[in-house]
Amino acid sequence: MQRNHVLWGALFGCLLGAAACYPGEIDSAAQTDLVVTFHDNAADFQANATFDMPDSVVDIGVAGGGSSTLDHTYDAQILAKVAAEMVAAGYTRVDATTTRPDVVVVVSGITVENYYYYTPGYPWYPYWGWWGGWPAGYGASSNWYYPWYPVYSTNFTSGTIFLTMVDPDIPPPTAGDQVSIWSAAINGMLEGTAPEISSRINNNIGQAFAQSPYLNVP
Amino acid sequence: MRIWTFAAAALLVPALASAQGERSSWFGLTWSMAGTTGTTKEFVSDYSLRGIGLEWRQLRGNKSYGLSLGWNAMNQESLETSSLPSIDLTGFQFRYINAYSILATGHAYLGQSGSARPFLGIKAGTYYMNRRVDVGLWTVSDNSWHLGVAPEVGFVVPLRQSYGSEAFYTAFRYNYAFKAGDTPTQSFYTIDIGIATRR
Repeated sequence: MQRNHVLWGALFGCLLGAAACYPGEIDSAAQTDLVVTFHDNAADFQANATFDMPDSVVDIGVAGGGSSTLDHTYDAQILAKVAAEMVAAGYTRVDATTTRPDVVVVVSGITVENYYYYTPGYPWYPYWGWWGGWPAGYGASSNWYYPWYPVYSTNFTSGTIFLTMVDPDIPPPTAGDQVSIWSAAINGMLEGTAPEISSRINNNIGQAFAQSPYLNVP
Repeated sequence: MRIWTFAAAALLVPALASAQGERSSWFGLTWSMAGTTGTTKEFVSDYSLRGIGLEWRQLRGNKSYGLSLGWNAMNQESLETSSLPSIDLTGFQFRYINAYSILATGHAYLGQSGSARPFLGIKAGTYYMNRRVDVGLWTVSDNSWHLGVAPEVGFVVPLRQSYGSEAFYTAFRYNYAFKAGDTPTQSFYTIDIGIATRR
């Protein structure tokens, strides 16, 4: 009789042990990736046909008051992928120093925590002011203007790439501001091998455009 | 809700009233599997093999009353794009429900003692529901206490070599936790397989 108790106890203990394993935890860095896109509902994306973009990824972490160690290893890949997605969406790239583009796409990144990306008053000029593609009238006092304000994104505990599409033709509420009509935040853990990170960058930038079909122009 | 309350009272009260005179106790331990229904299924739809139950029943004749404790962990993993006005979000979503129950029980048994016997029961008490969504590096969760009822059917089979004191039993139970605050009604069914000892 006692033997039966032990046998059944052991058998049932194994069963419960198997049942108690906690399910479905994140098991790869790629599963932490998050692609968030914002757009201005009032924007007429179909009216745009040309674009240009500065040829660098700016580390804006410092602007949040913290330190940042953005890895620029993948800058060329990121910029090339964004440009390719814009072309695939029907836009034609022009040289903004000679031809005024309909939209400008800027790329930035941070690796700091507790950064308030959409806090009003964030200055853009110190980071892209050197670029020769801006229309006349934009100076050191210019800020980003987000039509979907207020949206706050906080606590970026790892790497985040921001894509911001600016339409210089839309008059901003405050003189000198730049009006963003579309923005993407790609957030994830900065872990993995170089090929894995490279693949995640391509996939997630592609996803940002894939989930924004309104960007497509004829 | 009134119907469920009445049903619970109709089975629990006679079970309590019958527990007079000679008594014996039943202690049960079950492996509890679960599937969601209704609004709970909209949150997590996958079938779960993770759960345990502990049960005490006070037996007399063909009725019993008792107490049941349970835990069921349900989860779902998916790559989804969620859309809000002006915002679209894509990421792996890991959704979890941990359902804990503390229920008073009443059962009625058919057949003869010492043989395989089907039983009917009703459980009523409280459910603590923890719902969580992990997406990217963010977590959103809420916790809520619910009142609830759980009708149950099952059968018990005495083990041959320990006749009269140990038994295998299984039960199918429908758990219905009433709306609590902003948390909607939660419902799930469980299939329990376990062993019980009678003293």
